[in-house]
Amino acid sequence: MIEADRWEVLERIGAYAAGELMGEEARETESLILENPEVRRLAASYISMMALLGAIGQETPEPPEAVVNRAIRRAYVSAFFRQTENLFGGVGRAYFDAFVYYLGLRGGGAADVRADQA
Amino acid sequence: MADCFHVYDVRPEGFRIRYSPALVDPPGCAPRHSAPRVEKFLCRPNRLLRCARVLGRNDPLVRAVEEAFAVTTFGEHNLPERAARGEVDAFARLVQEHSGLVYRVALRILGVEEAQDASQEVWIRVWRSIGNFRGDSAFSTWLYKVTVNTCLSARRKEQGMRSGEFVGEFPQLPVQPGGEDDPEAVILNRERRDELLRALECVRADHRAALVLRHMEGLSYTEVASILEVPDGTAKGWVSRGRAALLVALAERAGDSNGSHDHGEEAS
Repeated sequence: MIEADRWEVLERIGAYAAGELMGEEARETESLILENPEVRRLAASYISMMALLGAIGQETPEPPEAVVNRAIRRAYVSAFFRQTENLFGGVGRAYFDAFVYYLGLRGGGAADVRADQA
Repeated sequence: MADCFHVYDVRPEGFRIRYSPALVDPPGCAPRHSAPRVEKFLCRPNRLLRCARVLGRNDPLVRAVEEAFAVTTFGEHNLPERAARGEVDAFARLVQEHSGLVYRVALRILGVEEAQDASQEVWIRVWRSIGNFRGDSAFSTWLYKVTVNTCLSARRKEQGMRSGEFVGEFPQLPVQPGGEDDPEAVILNRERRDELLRALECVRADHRAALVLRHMEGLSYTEVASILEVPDGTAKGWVSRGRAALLVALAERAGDSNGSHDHGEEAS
């Protein structure tokens, strides 16, 4: 068996052990497992590994408290800066609008009033 | 998983849940629902979750109810939407509820040394981009995507690692003696667990991510493909290659440790 074929068998036995093969493909793989002791041991190894993967998957490692706290703190700081930026942005915009109005660059400003008086 | 379960008709005393035919049963388990059907649970979501979690955190029913109620521990709804509007309290509750998922996935893809930093990075990205979360998918699916992308971006340089190669006979793991109650077997199992996590680091990063999502997080191939943003067939291929590469790495490690053990015995 050439290397590529061996890798294909390796993957196929893995799919069988994971219960992902159906119909003809599953039956062919079963007969391969029954005929070849090396492939049988491979299937047993896969099943053992999958059981271990599943067991680790059931574990629920708790994240360090620092991770949770820091993420929340950063969000609060970021929100504060966002609000500050909005506030100063708003004040700045208001001053700018007032200045534009004063110069009469927009209709109805002080310059227009003076021009009307003249 | 939204395709498999649909929670609706939510009232204070209970809710209805529909099992759709798209439900994929875990491999090796008998099908639980052969036909679509509707059930009504006359209990509050939190109570149902406590019962359902006995089946495991990744049970589809647990995830369906969690997703339907957004975040249930605090009895809050629409937390992602509120966080997207800039409500830090809602974001804080999302962090508290989902930090386990983020840390768990980062731990398995990156290992213990980098998991903490990666988790931090994930939450920074979530806070910055939660406005992009449109609610088309479950929040947990979107969070998986951000987590996996963050972990993979730290691992791009590993793309050329092991895949599609092994030398000699098919890889084999040594048979473990003893039952579950045997103290020696318990210690051996712990060692095997640590070995497996170390061997996982030898698997190519994207294959490892697919393997973690499929076999540790218990997600369907459709979900794995959606999270990794690849076609279903590619997700299947990555899981398959990752599984084979993990077994090869594990068998090599088992062979090495047996060899060194033998040498140690010879030396003594």
